Amino acid sequence: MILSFLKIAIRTLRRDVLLSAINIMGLAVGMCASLLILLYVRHEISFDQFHPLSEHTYRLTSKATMPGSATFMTPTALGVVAPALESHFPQVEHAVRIYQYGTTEIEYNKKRFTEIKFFWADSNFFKLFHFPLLTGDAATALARRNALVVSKSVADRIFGDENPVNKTVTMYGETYTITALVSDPPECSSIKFGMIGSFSSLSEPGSPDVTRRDGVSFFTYLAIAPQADNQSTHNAITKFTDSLSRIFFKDSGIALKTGLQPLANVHLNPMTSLEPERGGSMNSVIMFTSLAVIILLVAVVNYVNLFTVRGDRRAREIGLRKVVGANRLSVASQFIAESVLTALLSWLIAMPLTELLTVPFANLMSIELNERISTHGLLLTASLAGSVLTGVLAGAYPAFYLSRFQPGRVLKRGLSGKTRHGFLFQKILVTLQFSIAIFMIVSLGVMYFQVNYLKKKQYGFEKENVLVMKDLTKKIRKSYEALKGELLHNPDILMVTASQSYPGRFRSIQTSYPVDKTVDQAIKIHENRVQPGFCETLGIPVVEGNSFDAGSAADSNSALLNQAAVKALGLTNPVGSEIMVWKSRVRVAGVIADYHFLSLHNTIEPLVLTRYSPNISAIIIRIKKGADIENTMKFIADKSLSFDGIYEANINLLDKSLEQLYDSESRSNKLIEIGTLLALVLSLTGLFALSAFILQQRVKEVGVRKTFGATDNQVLGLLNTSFATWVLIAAIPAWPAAWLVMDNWLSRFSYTISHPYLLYPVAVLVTLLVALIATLSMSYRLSRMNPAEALRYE
Amino acid sequence: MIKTVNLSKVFRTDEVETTALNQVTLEVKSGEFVAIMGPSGCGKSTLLNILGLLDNPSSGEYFFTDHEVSKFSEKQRARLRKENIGFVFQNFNLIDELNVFENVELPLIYLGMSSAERRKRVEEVLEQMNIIHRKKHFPLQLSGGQQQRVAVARAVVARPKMILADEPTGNLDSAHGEEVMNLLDGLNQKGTTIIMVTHSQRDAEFAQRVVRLFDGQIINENIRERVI
Repeated sequence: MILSFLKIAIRTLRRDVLLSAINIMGLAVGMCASLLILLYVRHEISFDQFHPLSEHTYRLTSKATMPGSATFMTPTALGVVAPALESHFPQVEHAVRIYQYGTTEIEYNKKRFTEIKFFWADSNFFKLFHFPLLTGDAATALARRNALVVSKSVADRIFGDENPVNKTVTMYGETYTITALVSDPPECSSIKFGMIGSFSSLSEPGSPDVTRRDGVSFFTYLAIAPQADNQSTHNAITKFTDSLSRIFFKDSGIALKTGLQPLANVHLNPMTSLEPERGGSMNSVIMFTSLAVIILLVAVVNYVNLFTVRGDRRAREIGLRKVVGANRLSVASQFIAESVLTALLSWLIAMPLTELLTVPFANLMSIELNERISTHGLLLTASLAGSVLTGVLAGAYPAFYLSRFQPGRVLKRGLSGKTRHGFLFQKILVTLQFSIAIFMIVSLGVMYFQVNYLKKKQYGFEKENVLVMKDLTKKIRKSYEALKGELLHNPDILMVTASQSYPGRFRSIQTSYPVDKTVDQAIKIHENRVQPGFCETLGIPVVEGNSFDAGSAADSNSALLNQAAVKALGLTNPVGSEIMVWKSRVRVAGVIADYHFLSLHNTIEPLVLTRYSPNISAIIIRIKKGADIENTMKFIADKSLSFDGIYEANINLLDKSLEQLYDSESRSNKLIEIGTLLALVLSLTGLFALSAFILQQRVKEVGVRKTFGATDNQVLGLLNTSFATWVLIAAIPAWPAAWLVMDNWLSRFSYTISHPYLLYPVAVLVTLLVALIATLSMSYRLSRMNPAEALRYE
Repeated sequence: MIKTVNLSKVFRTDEVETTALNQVTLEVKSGEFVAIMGPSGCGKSTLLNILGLLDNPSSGEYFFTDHEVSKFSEKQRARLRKENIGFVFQNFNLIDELNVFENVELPLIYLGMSSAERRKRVEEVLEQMNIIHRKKHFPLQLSGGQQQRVAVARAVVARPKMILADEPTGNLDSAHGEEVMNLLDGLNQKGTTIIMVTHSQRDAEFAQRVVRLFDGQIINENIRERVI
């Protein structure tokens, strides 16, 4: 029996090579695309799960309420919290602080190595987190003062083939000893590092405790004993932590509310710009999962459609089989067997295809996918089961529908008896595909316009022709003024300034209030400590008062406010007034226009530029329009070398790095673009094959109509109107769905395009065009048929 | 009404060349009722298709109301067809998706007639064919005889000068067949030219003249005097 089924299945496939190829390849490509996306989604949701304690590990978050009732969230806590929790709560197995998560530079053997990912961590770091040590002892590696643990890749970079353990290096003038070598943190870790310093190194004898000096700046992780990991423990912990912060902030009017964020949620729920690592987003995960489902749906619908439409054509065969003794069940099982076999063929193609495309796909998404479909038991079995199910589903309709007919009737006139509602099932499925296509085109369009809008949007300053030099070394920072003088000798370099933050990268949030008010009226304000020429170099307009006056006695305590800050502080005559910025008293020299110092995801918030700090972390250089950028960059790098012989300059174009703020959206767009294209192509091939069958059913009608006077073009119009009608019907569910989803998506941005309603009819037109491409050649041929031929054909 | 001179039709496929009609010369006068008879495959339907302007001959001349039409394009033929010829087929060739009214209405739509005029004409002819009570039904809900009455109604609704019938009773029992033949006869009485392909001697007796075809050639023409 099975053998006979197989034989028929293979012959049926061979009879219609093109249709079979479309059918098998369509499902295979759909499966492959959705599997790739699911691999990506799995990568995103698997972050931090490799730690054995992951399930019971939490990160402390703080919601800070400023005196003026402004609030902000931070994924950090007070430095005193972790040790206090560990000693106070037996349920807390480990509490680890991570401090100053950023980059560092070290010297070894007279060579300097910059841009090493670095933080300080408590000695129990390796007890809570599972980063296997290659050499060294996890229990003691971070116990001593001035101990460093180095990751494999950084060790390779610095020490080459040498064993790093017990080597000494210099970091910011102090000597440290490498105590352990640790394997690189995996791609799916929200904590990444090249080096970790022992927390105890921070407590210098005689200087104030770092936890006193720095406020809510400590990433704090807790592992709670599994049996005690419940709401009441969480409540007790947050209550206790809140009481600690009340003691810490007793005079300032700042209140902290602590929260516990599960470690597994950290990656997908990043908190503000204060996150040390670029997180993912739950929204994208949902979006991509939907995309995978949609593509798979289109492919499955296609498959079912192509299979069933072929089944209809085989009505006569079924009639004959029944005449010679087949019963309903055997006819039904034959169809299901055929369909399952075809689906399995698709699966056999999809698997190696997925394997082959994993790396290019990961590159496209700028991630590292360590998992492969071939080694991923769950996805492998799930996709296999899925294709069998698709096969059963596709086979079930013709199996049970066609096996129902009376053999005599089917033999006599095929399925013409059902043509009044003929292909209704397939028409519904094709309409569903069109709906999906319209939905996808609208979504893609909205996303494209929005991202483009963000990239092109005016920031309120002149972001073009600006270079930013980051990762400054101590020597470079110290010689800033001299370096600036050197740089200005180049005629292509117009202005040079420096600051702590630069557009797109802001870390410092302070409180501020006018001196004639009290601290409980303070507002939240972003602060940037800048050097003279900051506004001029970036082209930020000063709308009131003056910019900084370099060299004047008053300059070092003067400040510039943006318009949002003036409004928030309630200053009627800002210029000349005095305000507090955290604990420093400054005089407002001028007001600058509101400009976007963060990404356009955020609205413009209050900002103060201050002059009192000589500390800089970036040098900002305005170059001549049309200047040779590469040469200028080289010039800057060379000049920097003359101040620090082993400095590798890191220089970027400001407008390019601002565009990178929308990387995640651009990447989503890319994926959605490919997905939409795929969905369209799949629909196109599906419709191509389906229309061939439907048109075949209409040959007689065409003959009759032409016999009674219809012209070629009337027939052509008639045939294509029905396809066009499906597309129009498809718009009915697609439009509101697209509107809802895209309106929601747009609401995540502070600055959005107005909803592009024109896209909706355009999407329908594009889909219509695709439908016409699929059907036109065949319907044209049919409409040109001689009526005699058409009737004879019948 | 029509005249053919040395009309031939050759069908070519990759391997074979079949001569369906060979030098057929035939004249049918206005108001005549002609039956074409012959064995299966002798070219009857091919001849009817050419006479009905559904197909072009491979060679020879075809005069339709004094115009030489054998080289007409499909567009020109379509115009002549819809204005002058009605068709009745053995298998009825009704469109399953359209109901009785809509099937009959079809030729009038292609003539560009107004909807009110169409309604009037269709109801009139359905009345005439005694099928008006079924006008909302779909072809598959009708018996064979009823379907053929609808097909005849469709053939006459545009008041053609000529009706071509291809074995109009071939799929009908004798009672229904008789009914259809009476309809055609009635139309002929009123002046419509009728050319009918048939296997049935009984049906042929309704015609004034029988043309016998064999292997694509006319072998015999009998003029019958009608016995009323």
